Amino acid sequence: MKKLVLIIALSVFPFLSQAQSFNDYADMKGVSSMVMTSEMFKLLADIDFESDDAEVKQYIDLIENLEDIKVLTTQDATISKKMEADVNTYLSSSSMSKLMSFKDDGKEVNFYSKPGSKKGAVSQLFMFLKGMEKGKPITVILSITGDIDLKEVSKLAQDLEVPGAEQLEKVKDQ
Amino acid sequence: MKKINKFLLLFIAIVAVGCNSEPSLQKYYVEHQENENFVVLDVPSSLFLGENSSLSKEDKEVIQSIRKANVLVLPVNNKNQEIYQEEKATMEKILKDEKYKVLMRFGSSGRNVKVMYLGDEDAIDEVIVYANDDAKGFAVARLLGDDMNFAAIMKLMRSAAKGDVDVNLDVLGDFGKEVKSKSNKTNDSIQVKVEI
Repeated sequence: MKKLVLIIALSVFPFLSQAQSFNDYADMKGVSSMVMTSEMFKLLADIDFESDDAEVKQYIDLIENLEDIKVLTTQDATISKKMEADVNTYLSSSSMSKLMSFKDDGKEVNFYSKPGSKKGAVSQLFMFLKGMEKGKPITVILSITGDIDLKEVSKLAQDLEVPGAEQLEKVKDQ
Repeated sequence: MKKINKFLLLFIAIVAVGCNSEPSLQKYYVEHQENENFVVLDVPSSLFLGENSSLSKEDKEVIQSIRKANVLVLPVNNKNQEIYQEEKATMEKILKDEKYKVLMRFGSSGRNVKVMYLGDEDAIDEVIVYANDDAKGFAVARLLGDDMNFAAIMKLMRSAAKGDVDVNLDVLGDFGKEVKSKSNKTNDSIQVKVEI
């Protein structure tokens, strides 16, 4: 009987651990979401930009090593509260440490990161933003996973047309 | 121990059945192209080419790697709400299959876009764009081909945007009209814009 319990536990575990990464929010009413997967980055890195520029090459390197980018945005007060609570449990259960936090134009921004393969690199960058934008309350969760060079990641901000991208640009100042 | 075996057998049986009843996108197309609620468009890539002899050999090869494009739309109106919900659920179930590699996904309340592909990263067989909007309906656009190369197609699209390549898009005009007449609405048809 013990064996059976173990089998069931093992087969259910992947589903449980997946639920951790805020997947439920993507289909929720009142939430805007954007997800880019590693398949996308693999294809993008393949495009021949016909450039020998070192900067372009660095950028392609950055893209190639990304796993995924997720952005969730809501203007709904109830969902926002739930997101905040979920973010707090998520942060306390994972090995993330605070990278930086600042106030920017009425918005409270917190960046967290998970240590990566080498110095100056992280395996996950997580941002939680809460505040007002254009007179409306806004809550944003942004998560980037992969092998991320913190010096390079701010460059992504220019190409991502999502809320929170502006704040991402500030990461390089650290 | 016997009990466990029974459980295991049941479990395996469920998994096996689950795998077998996998409906394919192609099958869905064939089954629904005659359905009056749907609008279907099928364009061979040769149509897009038009009278264009100035293309370089490389560009021609890229276009030839694309066999055809097809689009299936279910415009929603006052009468077919139920059908829409039902078909949307079926379609989303088909697209959940892991063989469709998701490139990106975005959406907000009642509106979603999903971009996927089938095949290997340097030899793509099918690119699929699924879009739905609960007020307008859903659309599935597919680009079918043999070993398409994403990088080469992107390059061609860029030169098409610059006007170097003359792409014949007139055929899409009639399609838009048909979608409009079936949806009983004056709204624009669903617009999907992918910017790279």
